Amino acid sequence: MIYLANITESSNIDLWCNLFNSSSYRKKASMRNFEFLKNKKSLLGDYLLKLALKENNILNYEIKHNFYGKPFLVGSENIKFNISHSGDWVVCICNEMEVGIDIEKICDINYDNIAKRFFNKEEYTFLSNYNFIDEKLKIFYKLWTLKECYIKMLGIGLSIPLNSFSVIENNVIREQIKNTGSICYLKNIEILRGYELSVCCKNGKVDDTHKFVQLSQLMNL
Amino acid sequence: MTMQEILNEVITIIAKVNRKPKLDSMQITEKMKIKSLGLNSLSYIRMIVLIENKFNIKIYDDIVESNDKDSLTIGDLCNIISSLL
Repeated sequence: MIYLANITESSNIDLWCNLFNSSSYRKKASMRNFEFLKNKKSLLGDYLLKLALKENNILNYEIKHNFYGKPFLVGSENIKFNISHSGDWVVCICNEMEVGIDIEKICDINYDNIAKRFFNKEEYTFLSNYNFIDEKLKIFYKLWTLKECYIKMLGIGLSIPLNSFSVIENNVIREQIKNTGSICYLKNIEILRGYELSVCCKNGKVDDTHKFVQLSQLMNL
Repeated sequence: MTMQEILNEVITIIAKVNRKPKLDSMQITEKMKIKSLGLNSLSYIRMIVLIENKFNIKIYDDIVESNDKDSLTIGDLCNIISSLL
């Protein structure tokens, strides 16, 4: 299940203060005074995870990070999660198998230089096949989020060279990548206009059911 | 090119990547860790590409991909750029 929330849904400072005050001590320590208002996305990510875990009957949990910074649950190894945010949106996915998610707001950037330098040759050729700039930009972000969610699923950060694997095969976006005996399933999910969102799951097809969460739902979790 | 000139260019690039006015980015110092800039992977890669194009250099892949990049400071990045000029 994918959970989505929008930080602009409420500008009510009292609501954000309540969310902040009810958040974990660790989060409070890292966001002093009203600094958390600049970092609503991080706060919201924590709450989406809390909601997702509650729906999986996990009320008490501890989060640790692996060497590359990927967070994981301690003591609940059968539940995996991943969080991403961009623009106004925060997304969280919970799954029984290892999972990665990436959302990117489509912004007008010089994508060609990035693709040329960091995409696999097959991916760059695929991108080059599109004619219109808007279309190319969307495809760039689609490929980027697919690559990024795969890397996030692996949990080893950019230590895996971006051009060492391809999300394109025979000029088609791949639905799976084989990795040391595992099959990693990829899916680009079109939910939000102006954003690209992709998910990667290990050894299981991507469950793209999703739920838009209202901020008020996060109170009293 | 002096280290100060390199630093100024890097600050301009970070401001562009972070979509913040350069004035805000002037708080960036050489001692700040790149990790503290809060860049996601795409922003980090954009920063690398913009630096490479601005200075006409190629930053080594092992620096881009190394997990140690989290401990890199802005000053370290300026030193790397300087060494490649």
